[in-house]
Amino acid sequence: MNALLPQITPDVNSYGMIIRDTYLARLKALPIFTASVQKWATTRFFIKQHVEFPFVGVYLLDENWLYETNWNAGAPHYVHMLRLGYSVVVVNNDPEASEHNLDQAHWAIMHLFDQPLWQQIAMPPPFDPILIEGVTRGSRSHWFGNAGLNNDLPVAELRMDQTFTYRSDWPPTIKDGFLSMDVTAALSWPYDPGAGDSVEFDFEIPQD
Amino acid sequence: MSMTSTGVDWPGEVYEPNFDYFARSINITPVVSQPGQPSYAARGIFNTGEVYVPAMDGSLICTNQTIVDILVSEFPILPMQRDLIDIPDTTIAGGSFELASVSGDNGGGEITLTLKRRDMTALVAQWLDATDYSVGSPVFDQPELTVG
Repeated sequence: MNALLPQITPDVNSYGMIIRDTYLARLKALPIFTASVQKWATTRFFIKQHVEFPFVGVYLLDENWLYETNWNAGAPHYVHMLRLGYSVVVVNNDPEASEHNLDQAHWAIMHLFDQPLWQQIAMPPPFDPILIEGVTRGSRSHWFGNAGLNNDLPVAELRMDQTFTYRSDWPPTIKDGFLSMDVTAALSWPYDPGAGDSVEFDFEIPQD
Repeated sequence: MSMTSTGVDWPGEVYEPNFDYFARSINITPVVSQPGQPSYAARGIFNTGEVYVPAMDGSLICTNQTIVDILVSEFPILPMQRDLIDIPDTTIAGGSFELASVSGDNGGGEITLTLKRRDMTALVAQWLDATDYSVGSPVFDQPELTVG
């Protein structure tokens, strides 16, 4: 079961944003979140209110990319490292219970790797599927309030991140490509098409 | 110059009159400070104000810092962390709290209790059997071309 997402395709949006939105949909499909989460977010824009817990945020924390081969030769090819952040906030006066609850959320997210096609994101025609090469690192930590620990709402937060690695290629878009060449060779000069002494050659230029 | 050197009886001349005016009733269940003992009535000056909790990626959670000031002289055994405190509603809302922190004496016989609301909004964990759910590729909405 998958959430319906607004149209987001790689002609107008980045692979990174599509991966972020896909993981938002995938987390929404996890049973631990479907029944109980009161608020979902993808940005920090709105301050979270006390009625919005349990809360889950799926954030595009940052993205870096490095050249894959020779940076100064040929079309650019990049290996991207997209860091997604998962913020899960619950409320509980019992910190041991809330920590176990956060750990369950963390483990449920890790179980997304159980899905055989987790690394593929289908796109509508004519786009190819977006492929995630791997998740190369991750981390998590548990937080229990502000620095003074004087917040009266007993919140506990799972901060978890995963780094998704994928590639992008940027071949030039050539609209006046050198696709073919017609050559006529003749003995007479000036050239007389009626002289019957000419030979025509058609060259197809390989594009690979 | 210290407070006591002024000759002011802070508990008697300052705090008690203020408590007579500002304090409200509270009920303390001493689950830690006096295990097994019933709850008892007391009084304290309640205050609450906005405070923010930083969360992932610089996001913020809006909540309150809620405290109750009490007079040490009114408590044979002081409350302790994780005792329960109920503050009945008056014209001002109260609530059900757990004692998070007990400050030291302010030098005048008053201490501050920092409270956490008794609340719980938990996730319900379930065994994840891959046959029970699918999180494969999401279904994307298709654009519709409208010619008007």
